[in-house]
Formats: sequence, C-alpha cells, structure tokens
Amino acid sequence: MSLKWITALFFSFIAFMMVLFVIIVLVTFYYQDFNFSRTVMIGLPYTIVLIIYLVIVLIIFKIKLD
Amino acid sequence: MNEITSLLYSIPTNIYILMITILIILITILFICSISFDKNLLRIYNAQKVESGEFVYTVMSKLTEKANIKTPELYLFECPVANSFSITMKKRKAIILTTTAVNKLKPEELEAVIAHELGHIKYSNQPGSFTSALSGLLFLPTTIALWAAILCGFGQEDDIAPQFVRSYVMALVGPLTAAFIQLTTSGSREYVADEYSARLCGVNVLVNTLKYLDTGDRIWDANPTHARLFFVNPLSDNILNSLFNTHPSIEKRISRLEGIDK
Repeated sequence: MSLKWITALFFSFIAFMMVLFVIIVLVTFYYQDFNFSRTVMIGLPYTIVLIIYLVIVLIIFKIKLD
Repeated sequence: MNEITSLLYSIPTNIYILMITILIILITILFICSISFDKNLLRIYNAQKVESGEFVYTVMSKLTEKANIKTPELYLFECPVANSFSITMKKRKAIILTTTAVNKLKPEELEAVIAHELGHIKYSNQPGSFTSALSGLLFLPTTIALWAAILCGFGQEDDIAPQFVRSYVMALVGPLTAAFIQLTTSGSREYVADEYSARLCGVNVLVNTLKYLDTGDRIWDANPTHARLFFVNPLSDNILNSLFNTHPSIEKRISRLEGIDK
C-alpha cells in the first residue's frame, strides 16, 4: 500500500477528530457543564461512523491506487 | 441518550428549513453545472477558440481526416506546462491545448497529443458532465475556505495561513471527492486513447512525447477534480493530491505501448 494516500487518510481522520472536539466544546458550553457520559454518547457514534467511512474509502483507494 | 435527543429537539425548526433550502439550492446548482459543464470548463481556463487556417488546426484536421472522424472544436489556454484535455459531451466535442504544448512540442509530438485526445473523443471515455459537476461540487468547500481565509485577512493566496485553511478543508472533503472520482473514472481509458494515438502517429512518437512530458515540468496547480481530464497528471506529488491521481504511471503507459509495438 502506498504510504502517501494512507497518510492522507490519517490527516483526514485527524481533521474529522478536530471537528468532533469543536462539537464537544459547543455542547459543553451549551449545558455549561462537562458530562463524560454525554461526551461518550456523542463521540462514540461519530468515531464509529468515521472509521466505517474511512475503511470504505481505504478499500476504494487500495483497489484503484495500488 | 435523552440529553442528546433533547439537544436535537432544542435546535430551532428554522435551522432544518435552512438546511433543506441549502440542499435544494445545491441540487439546482448541480443540475445547472452539469448542463453547462463544457461552457464552465472553457470559462475557467479562459480558453480561446482556434479558427481554421492556423497551424494547430491544420494538424488536427489532417488527423481527423486520417482517422475519418468529425473535426472537433479546438481551444487554447495560457498555461506554463505542456498538457491537454478534451470535452466529449454529446453537444460539444472539443480539444483544449495549453499554449506551452503548442509552442514547445515538436509538430509530431503535438500530433501525438492531439491524436490521444481524438481517441478520447472517438470512444467517448472522458468522465461524464454530471459526475464531473458533482465532484466539483463536493470539492467546492475547499475553494470557499481558501477565499474566506483570504477575505478574512489571513493573507494572500500563496501565504501559509490561507493554504493551511484550504488544506484542512481538503483533508475533510478530499477523500470523499477523490473516492467518488476514482469510482467514476476508469484507468484503462488512458491506455485506449494511447493505443489510438499510437495507431495514428506511431508508437515511437507517442513514447517520446510521454518521456518528454515526464521529464519536463509537468507540475501545475490545477484543480484536483480536473486532473483526471488531462493528458498527463498535472498535480504535484503531495500527500492529499495523491488521492486524485487516476492516470496510470508514465512507465506503465510506455511499457504498454512498447508491448503493442512488438
């Protein structure tokens, strides 16, 4: 597998995680309180969907770019 | 879970109406862009039509006569690298060359490039206008982010801050757009067009042209969603651009051509 597009997908993962961080910050400010279970409730589905998306994209690139 | 549900319910209904309106606007833009894809592409590159009688047009006319196909329109646009692409819509068939290709390539190399584009036109194997418009629309946030950063005073187009903002948004939308482009683009279409060009102009000429374009300065800051249209991949080899490469490598193209020759 090419290192370049794997790195590109890693950057993409980091970029999406930064969006998740902003969402958590906004929700925390909205409730004016940090609640761990609420944060997990937001973060877990987000991360699962993101990983599924990246795996699909990875398979496409593996077929097409390698 | 209840907290999340209550959070979603607390979002004003106006936001949902706004989202639906934006979606309708985007679908309309997509529809308009896919209809006028050829015009938009020529406008983006400020391509000028070449009239019959000029040297390049004569070269193309001879090739179309030889190939027995209808002569497409010919356009030129200013660009620092030698490259070309074609439009193969039902209503418009056109070959678009860069001015550097016309000025720097030898006549027989220019013939090989034009013949390659004629191959795309003959087999209509360039990406469709709808998929091209959709990939452009998916990639649009990158351009919006760049201009927003410039207009917000982060610096000029080449400064590091607007480029960082652009790269960040590209990291978000790039993989999805690139995956869509990869799924809707066949890598073998370049081989088909190469074979057609080799039949018209000879294998050696095309091989020499490909070698020249590979050793020459082919890197140009084109829109990554347009890269698949070009004769050779114009994008730099940076990490995010590597996702948009739909061209087989020059070495593979040459070895395939040399295989035909044998």
